Amino acid sequence: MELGDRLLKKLSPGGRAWLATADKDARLAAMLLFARPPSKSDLQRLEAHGVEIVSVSGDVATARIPRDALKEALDEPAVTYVEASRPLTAE
Amino acid sequence: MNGVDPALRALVHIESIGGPVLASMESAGSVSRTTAGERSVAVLLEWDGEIDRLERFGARIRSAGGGIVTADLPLSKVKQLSRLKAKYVELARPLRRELDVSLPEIRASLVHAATPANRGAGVIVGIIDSGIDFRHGAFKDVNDQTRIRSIWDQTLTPQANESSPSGFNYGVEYSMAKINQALAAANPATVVRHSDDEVGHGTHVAGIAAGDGSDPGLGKPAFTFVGVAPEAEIIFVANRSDTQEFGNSVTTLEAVRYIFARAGQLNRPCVINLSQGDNIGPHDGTSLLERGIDAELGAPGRAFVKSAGNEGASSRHAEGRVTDGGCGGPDFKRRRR
Repeated sequence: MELGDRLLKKLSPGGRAWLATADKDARLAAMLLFARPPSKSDLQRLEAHGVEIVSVSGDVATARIPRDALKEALDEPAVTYVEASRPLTAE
Repeated sequence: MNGVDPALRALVHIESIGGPVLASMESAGSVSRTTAGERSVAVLLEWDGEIDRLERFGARIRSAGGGIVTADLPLSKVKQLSRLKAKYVELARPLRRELDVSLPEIRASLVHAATPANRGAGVIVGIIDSGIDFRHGAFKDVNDQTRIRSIWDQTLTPQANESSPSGFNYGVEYSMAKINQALAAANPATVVRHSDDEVGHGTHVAGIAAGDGSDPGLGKPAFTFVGVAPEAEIIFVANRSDTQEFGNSVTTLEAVRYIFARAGQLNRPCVINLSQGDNIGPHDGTSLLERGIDAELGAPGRAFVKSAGNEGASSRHAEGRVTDGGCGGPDFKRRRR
């Protein structure tokens, strides 16, 4: 999948690494940063692409993004950044 | 044997005479066996040399950082330690539980004993961690009923009579009623499939935060190891998985949202503890997990506690010097395994 520089800048390094190896049925667990708390229509547009919005906290939403929908999600004007999930360890 | 602590020197003597002392140290775990059957001990070394040299000496490195190395050392090598010329070598010492000391130290005991007493009654303590041993007496009330309002095990797939929490389409949620039903069952696991992992990190953390210490043990009477909020109720999210030690930043934010939402439905103030994390990202509060948590804290009666400062010996920091107009930085070496 070719994203181009503009969209790649909106994807975290972890997301880019995931994209390089993910198969076509894979879904990216990610957090989406919006320019402002997302409106219902912002979320509906993403869901129309197949993005599953799980929760919204202020201007951040957690989501599962099918590989094939990643480009559309990144291209959504309201979305300013997509950060792939990071594993946490015990502290 | 300069630079070797007295306990290790004594061990050399004990090893030479063998017998019951060595056997008792082995049964107490102070001396262990390698897979090859050789006796070994855990040590801390003050060491500024090459790690490879320690490995060639026979040490199995466990961690290294800040000039201190932790390692397993074959007992046969202990008497040769002076050849190594380490600055200092110290035998691992058994440590005691100290929750009975912590509460007076942080003045929580004064709050518990105040008039009126404040022991967390009416408050929800949310824990996001490996799991919780819900059968443990520390999490039951005086009537032997659970103080756990709910458990969301994010790693389970719902089976018959199980469901994911409302608003989240994964994992299994167990209600307080279900947990009490499990506690009354001959085999609790047939009712609530959730359990903590072998380490018990989540149970340990929950015990510090909200255990009531009612179980006697370790030769100590009941109510010796009391948690900070022993009368609080608990909402627990378990995010351990088989493929990674704990959950991830996305499921953690969903856990935060779940706990605050459930506490809100109960109209209770809530404090969440997160004793897990990573070292990736800007470290300035702007990662999306941090922003999301900040957004969740925008309502009254909500607080968040995060572990910090536990990684000083994890070799995760480096430093270098860059001259004006020049290039430079730290050198990285990958230790051979």
